Amino acid sequence: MIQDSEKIIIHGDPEIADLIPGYLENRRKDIIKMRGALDRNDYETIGYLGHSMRGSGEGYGFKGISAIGLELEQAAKTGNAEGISRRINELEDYIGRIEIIYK
Amino acid sequence: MPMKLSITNKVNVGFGLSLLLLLFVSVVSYRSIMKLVENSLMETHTYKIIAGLEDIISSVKDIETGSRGYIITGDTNYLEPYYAASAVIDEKVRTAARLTADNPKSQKMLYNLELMIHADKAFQAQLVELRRSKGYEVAKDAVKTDIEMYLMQEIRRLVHAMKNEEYALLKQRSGNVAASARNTIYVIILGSALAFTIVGIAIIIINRDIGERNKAEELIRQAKAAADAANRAKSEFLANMSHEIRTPMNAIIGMAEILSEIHLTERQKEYLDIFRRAGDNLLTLIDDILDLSKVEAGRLELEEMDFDLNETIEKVVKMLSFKAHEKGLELSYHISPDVPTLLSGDPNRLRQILVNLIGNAIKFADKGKVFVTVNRDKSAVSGQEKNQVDLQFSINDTGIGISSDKLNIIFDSFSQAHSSTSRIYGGTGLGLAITKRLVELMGGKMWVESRVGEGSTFYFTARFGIPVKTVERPASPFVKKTEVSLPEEQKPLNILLADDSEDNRLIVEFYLKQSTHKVESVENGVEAVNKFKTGQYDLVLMDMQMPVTDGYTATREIRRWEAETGKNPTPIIALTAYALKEEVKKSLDAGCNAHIAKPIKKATLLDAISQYARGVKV
Repeated sequence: MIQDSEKIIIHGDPEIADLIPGYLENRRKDIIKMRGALDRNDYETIGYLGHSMRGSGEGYGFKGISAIGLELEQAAKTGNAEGISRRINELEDYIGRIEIIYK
Repeated sequence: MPMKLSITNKVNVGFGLSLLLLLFVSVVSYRSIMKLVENSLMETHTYKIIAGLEDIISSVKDIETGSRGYIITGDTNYLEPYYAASAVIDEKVRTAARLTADNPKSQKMLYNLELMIHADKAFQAQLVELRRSKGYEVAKDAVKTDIEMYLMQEIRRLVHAMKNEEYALLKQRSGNVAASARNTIYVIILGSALAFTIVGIAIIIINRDIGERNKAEELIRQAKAAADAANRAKSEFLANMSHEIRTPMNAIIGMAEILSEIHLTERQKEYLDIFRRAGDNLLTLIDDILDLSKVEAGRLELEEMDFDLNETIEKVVKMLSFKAHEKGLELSYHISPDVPTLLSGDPNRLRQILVNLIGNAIKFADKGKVFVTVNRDKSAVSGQEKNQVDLQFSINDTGIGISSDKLNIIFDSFSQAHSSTSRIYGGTGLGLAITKRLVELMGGKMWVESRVGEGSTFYFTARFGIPVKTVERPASPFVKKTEVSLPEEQKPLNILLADDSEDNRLIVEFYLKQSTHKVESVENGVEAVNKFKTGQYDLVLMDMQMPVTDGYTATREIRRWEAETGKNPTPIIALTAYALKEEVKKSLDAGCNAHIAKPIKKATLLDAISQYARGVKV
């Protein structure tokens, strides 16, 4: 429903600019890991990854990642597979749309 | 139950019956004992009568023996017992008469006995007189008549009959008493047994009742638990649904925004406006439901962070002052000087409460002013720990007021004082319900004083922490980050970082690389403890949620090892993803010196490190 061309503008901290591509790359890996875990009903892994994202996202300037991480953590706790699937898609969508401006 | 009696009544009936029975047993026993006593007295009485009769016989014999001796010898000495016995015998007969007064049969016999005795006495007196006047021979001949023998026989027969009569009476009485005593024993045994049985039955019935009652209570408890669970499930469902609704709603509103930027006809604009307003209203409603259901499902957790109260209130007032001025209202606030400025709690939820209450005040006031005050709540000292403060907020308006009969329902979900209110003033009717629950979550209470036409004052109290141990986070880290540089004199530190998340390790390492400090990282609690034991560290940054061994366990282990080896405690700063009060307390309890909530900001991190690096070893 939301156009792919819509960008999410993030004002990044230039100090950690070098770390950000790696951080986002790790999230892409997380997405793959979580999809695999979801197929295996491995909610523990999803909860753990969600928890880590929740703790790290905002530190890197990505409030959205923290928020999705929290949702993932909670959905994993209740074993809400559909919710997890949605959140993973959201995360993928979010990462795909962010544009970071350093100033 | 055959009769619908309450347990109390059953106890009363059971024990009452038993008491009555015991009373009956007591009365019967008493009467029986009294009879025994009476009988024993009667026995004495009988023996007295018998003794009296024996005495009479003995006197008769004395009279006869005396007269006989005198007749034979002529010696007047023999007359002495004769006179003595003659003198007392009448009295003895009278005594016997008195003792047998209750027995007509005895009385009759005694009357005959008395006649015989008088006759005997008269006859003996005649003999004595004959001896004295006519001499031995005449007297002797007189004795030879059968009169004396007849009299004596009659006297003996009467006395014997009377004695028999008394013995028979005694026997009859004793028989009665024995029977009565036997009956008494039966009554006592039966009565007691019956009383015990009644009490026993009462106890069984009462126990069964109590059992039934417990069963009923258990059923009620189960029903309540089921109802609570259902309510929670409902709230969970609402929370989830609301969330699911939000996503498409955001898209709808977003599309409306985009549409509004395109050139539209007046009519289209008008429709779009309605479209957007409806969307906004729906979103507000969903937000409210989400909040309320989160609170009800127990899923709403308050954050615990340090914040500036002045700043929080100022922001809210600034935000709402536009709306107030639009309506020509004056909006101002006052914070009492004894209220600490720096607090620890959930500023966002406090803001939500204030926005709701002040927003309401503005909504319902058409003229005059809205005034917000903050004071220390001096009434609430109980349960307050040191480092805590209770504050009372009041929001006073000069609006339409609330009538007294509506005062207690306005805090209920989906209720406004008048159903017409929502049409005039808008709103979901959930705001106050949420606000009240938020206030309760903050350990406070909420109430309202109001008069129709004069306005309302909403009060609420809330408990906040006063930050002591937690490292203060600068109000705006991006502004202050240039100011937070390491003091010149600060020596480079050896820092141990334990965090399972690579991303967190990277960012912390990155920040510390820019300083003079050296940092070594480990991925879990076990490694942290091992590394700590073998290295020389000035400070530890410990993530609390780690796999294998978490930060709490690792911290306790480090503290234990330090104590065993007699080392000074090294500062340990806890890192957690939660800024919840319990998490902070838990980490401090485990032995950490301070606490930083993630996300980790550079300024906060360096601030904390410099604070604990000044050689201040706790």
